[in-house]
Amino acid sequence: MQNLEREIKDTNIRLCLDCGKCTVVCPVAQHDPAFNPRLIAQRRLAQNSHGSRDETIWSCLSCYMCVERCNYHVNFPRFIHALRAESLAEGAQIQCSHGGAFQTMMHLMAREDLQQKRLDWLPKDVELSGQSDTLFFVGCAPYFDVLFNDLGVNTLDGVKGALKLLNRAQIPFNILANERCCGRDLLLQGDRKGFLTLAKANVEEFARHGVKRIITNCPECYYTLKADYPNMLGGRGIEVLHLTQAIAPLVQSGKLSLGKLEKRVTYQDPCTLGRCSRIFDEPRQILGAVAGLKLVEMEQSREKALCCGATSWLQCGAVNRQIQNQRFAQAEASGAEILVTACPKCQIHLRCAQKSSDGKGARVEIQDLASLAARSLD
Amino acid sequence: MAEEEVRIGVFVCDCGLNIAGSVDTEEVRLFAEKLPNVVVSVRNRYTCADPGQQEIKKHIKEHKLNRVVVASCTPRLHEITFRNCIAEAGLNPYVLELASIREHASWVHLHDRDAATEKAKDIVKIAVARARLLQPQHETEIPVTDAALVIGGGVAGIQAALDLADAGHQVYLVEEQPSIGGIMAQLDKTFPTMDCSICVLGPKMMDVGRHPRIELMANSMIEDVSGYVGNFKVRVRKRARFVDETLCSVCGKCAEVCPVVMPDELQQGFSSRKAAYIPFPQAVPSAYLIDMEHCLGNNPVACAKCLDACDKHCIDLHMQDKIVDLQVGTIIVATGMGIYDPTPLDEYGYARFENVITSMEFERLICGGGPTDGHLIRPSDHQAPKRIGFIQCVGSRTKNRGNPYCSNVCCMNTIKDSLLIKEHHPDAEIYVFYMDIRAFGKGFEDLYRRSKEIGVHYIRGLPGEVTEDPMTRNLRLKVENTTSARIEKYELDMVILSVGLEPRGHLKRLTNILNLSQTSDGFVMEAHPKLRPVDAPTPGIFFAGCVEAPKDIKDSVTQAGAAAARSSIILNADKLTSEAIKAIVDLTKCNSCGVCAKVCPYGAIKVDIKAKTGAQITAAACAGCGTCAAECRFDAIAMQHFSDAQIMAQIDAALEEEPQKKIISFLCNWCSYAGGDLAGVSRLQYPPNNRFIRTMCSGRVAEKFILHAFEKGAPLVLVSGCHINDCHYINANHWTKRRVERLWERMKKWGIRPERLQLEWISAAEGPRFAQIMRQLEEMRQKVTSEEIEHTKKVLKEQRLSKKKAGEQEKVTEPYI
Repeated sequence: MQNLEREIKDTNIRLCLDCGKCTVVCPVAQHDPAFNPRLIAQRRLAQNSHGSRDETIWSCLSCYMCVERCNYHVNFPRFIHALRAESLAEGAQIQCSHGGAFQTMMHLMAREDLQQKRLDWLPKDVELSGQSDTLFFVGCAPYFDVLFNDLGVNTLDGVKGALKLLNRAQIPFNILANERCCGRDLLLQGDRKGFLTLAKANVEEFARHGVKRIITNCPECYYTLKADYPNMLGGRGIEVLHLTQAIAPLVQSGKLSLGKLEKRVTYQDPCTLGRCSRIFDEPRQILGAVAGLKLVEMEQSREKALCCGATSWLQCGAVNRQIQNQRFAQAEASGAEILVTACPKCQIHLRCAQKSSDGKGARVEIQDLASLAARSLD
Repeated sequence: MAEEEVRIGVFVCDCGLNIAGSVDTEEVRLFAEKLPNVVVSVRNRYTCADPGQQEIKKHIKEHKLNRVVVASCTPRLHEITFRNCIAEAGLNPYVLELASIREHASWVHLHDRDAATEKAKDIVKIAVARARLLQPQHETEIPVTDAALVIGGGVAGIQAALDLADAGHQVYLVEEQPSIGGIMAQLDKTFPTMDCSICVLGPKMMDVGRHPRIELMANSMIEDVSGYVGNFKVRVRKRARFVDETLCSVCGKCAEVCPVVMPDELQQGFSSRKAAYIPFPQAVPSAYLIDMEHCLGNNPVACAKCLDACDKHCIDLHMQDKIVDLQVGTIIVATGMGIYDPTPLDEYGYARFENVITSMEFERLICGGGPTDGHLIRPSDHQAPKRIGFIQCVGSRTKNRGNPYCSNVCCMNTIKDSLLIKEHHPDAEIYVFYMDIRAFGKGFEDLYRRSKEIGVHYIRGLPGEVTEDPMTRNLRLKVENTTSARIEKYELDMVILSVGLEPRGHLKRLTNILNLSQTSDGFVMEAHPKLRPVDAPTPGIFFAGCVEAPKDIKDSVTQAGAAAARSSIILNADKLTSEAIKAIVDLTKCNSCGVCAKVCPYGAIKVDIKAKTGAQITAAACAGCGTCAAECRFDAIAMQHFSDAQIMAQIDAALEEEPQKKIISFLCNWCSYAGGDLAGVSRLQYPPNNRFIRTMCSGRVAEKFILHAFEKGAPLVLVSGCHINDCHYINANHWTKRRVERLWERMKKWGIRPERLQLEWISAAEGPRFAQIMRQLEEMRQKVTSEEIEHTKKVLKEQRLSKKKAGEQEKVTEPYI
């Protein structure tokens, strides 16, 4: 059990009271009776647990709903990530979704001799400040749009919107030509080595360019850079902001004015931005600053928000689809015309479900928050 | 007073073989004989036994001794024995010093006779150095007022008041509400007996009401308390009832005509009352009152219908609050509990769904005196619920909205409730959703079994969410049945949240007035959780009931009896004496900076910083921890019986010879020294290089003692006390910690390795840890070079001399704290 010592201590897993609230609120357990976060931990910690493989550990969405409800905020997702690492170290083969394309992409980005041509999408009118010690971290949006071309999902729209907002707000920033994937998905999968390679390479690149502050539009990159990098690599880390944290104070104080858009919208709290990072208000403040926009909340919002079903590119099955359909039902019930989200993963997964779910959720349009806010400026 | 010659007698004990087996006691005796001021040095086989004591008395008379050193076992064992012995011989008991050569030498250095003997000699030398400077002390006598104050008129307060009054003492019972009775008066039945609550309590309430020695002040609040054990002065505000309770005949006409209708808080808001009301039919005092906050007004008088209706003319709408000053000898705090409000637990829908209620609300619905005359109905449609669920641990055992502790009574309360429901509705389906069922007391398991036999379902798992069917207003629960690891769904007519207990909302107000500490969960802190469970750390104040921690009626009543008995011990005495270890202020040196008042854990010091009249210490309230003396930067506070001079003399004696081989350890009497004793009793062996100096509290250890030890060539100094939240003197060791941390910073600046000053919290139970720390210290000591020691001596001497040059008094811009 020694490799799990640290996780057992950090996650408080031994404080579990076996009350079962986590199981009830878990979106996966709702649709899959075989999945039980509480039992995963119990089985692993049981006396004779060596040798037996728990296949259900790959189904966790890391949505943190269990942590939210738990009496002691036991960090089941973090424990499951450690179990995955253990399983991989023992030679388990994981099934990746999309034929492992994303894992391949991340491993490619970990190569030392990496040469990327990843900034062709950058609009000509975006102002970059080469001297700035603030970095805008793009994330994997350029690659997502290539891989999901057929879905018509455009995560780069969100990035472009973010850049436009930052320019308009007169926040100087630079963009790195050789940015690599933040590595979050590898970390969550249990591929610690892969994650560390990416992380170290990124940190070196940041240091080389004198980066002191990072702003990003992707909640997963935000949390990984802010919390996982110092946690796994040591050191104090750089200041990291999500775009909404940079923009919201400016719209609140009136320094930045957004435009007008007459629509009913609802907001999907991304799990990593909401429950994990406790950023609930800033995105809503930005939406509130767009004149004519009416925000209606879904039945499950803020701390209770329902996950979009993303699994770090591990699984994509009936359960994930059922979760997504449930979310669309809630979006439609709210009467919203647009489902606004602040996460490229939410965008991709909801759009995919929308396209293939025989008409479910067809009426609601999915848009990124930054993209919508930037559009209102025109 | 003429300075008399100091004549010390040293009595070295063999203690059979306990000491003599590993220490050459004859060598120690001979050594002691040669010390200055020692006129006789005697060896005894068993000094504490009668022959040994007789010998002490004989030598006191023969040699006209005026100081006595007994080199034997730990003072924590026999200090009182030998104090009594020398008192019988006509000496003041405070001129005795014990040198522990058993627990701290013979038992812990069993295999090195030479080293043990050398250490024993040193211990005696240190003891003689202190004895030389000991002074006779007089224990102050405090008169005792034979009266008690009981704050709170719930079952605990009622029981305490009755016990004290029956024992012959005058009791003042102050209750905030218009009637006594507390929570117990609001319950229907009690577990495990299924007694009717108010039927059991009512007669006791009547007894209080008519007891000749109990003065009941209901609708009253404590405004201020000052003084100390035996002599408390209490100011009570008797709030106006606007009804003369001695005249009111409880006819109820005023309530009939009163136009103001409002929710009745004692019926949990399920029914209403008027502004003119009686809390409940069995109220004591048995009288109505006017709720002036909701009355239409008395200035000017807006309505006055009650006035017109009252035949007895006992309503006075212009009644004023009355201030009453009391003098009492002891105070019992029995202010009871609060109840957790489950509104933040939105997933249970308490604030959104009508048919989700709390256990307290259920109690009123099922109670015959309740808003429905005991017919169990559900709020939405007033129909009898057929399927009822109880959710346990609401607001308890959690860090996620609520309290981390277990609330003690909720499991049994639910079991009792389930039986009550079955009594009324044998066909009801009852589900209890739980994590653990705690049925620990007498008769508890039997009640649990009865509940299961009668068909109540116990499901192990707490619901993750409760939703409502908007048409039927039924509740839908989803819960993981953890015994079968399956998610189950239940549709219920009513859900009862088994809410936990909490400290009362405004407890802080009372704890501030009484200078009481609260534990981390907000309840009041007892002096010792095992050995003094109903005493407050402040002498003369006691606790009973839920103010101290969640508990049931039986335990509340038990504590009430205990508090009354312990109060009686004080009240029965004509006078109290307190140990003569007190702080005394030298007003010529006092700068009125106020630091001493800030650090005193007992609030025994008052300083008027503006008037600069000097610190005033209330000797009776002083517990003798010494923190004020250690913190005073003007050397204006002296500690009786543990003076600066005595401690310095002990340090000098310890380091007179071969200082580089000696580690000076300051140990607090209650914990660290006791830990050392335990190490001795357990015969744990450790190196003989340590020399202990006992203080009552680690708070006594002033910076200058530590620096003096270093300046005299000590390689290492240890400061040790109780664990941080367990200080015998409430929180004095917090100041020790800050003091040592500050000193570490200064040592760094002076180029002295801060690790040479060690800070360890050792409890009385940690014998093995004590021994281990002794071993670790010796390892560290061996690495301290003589160059380091010389450098330290030089630097500290320079510091001391330059400070002297700069003037004795520092300019104070801001106190350290």
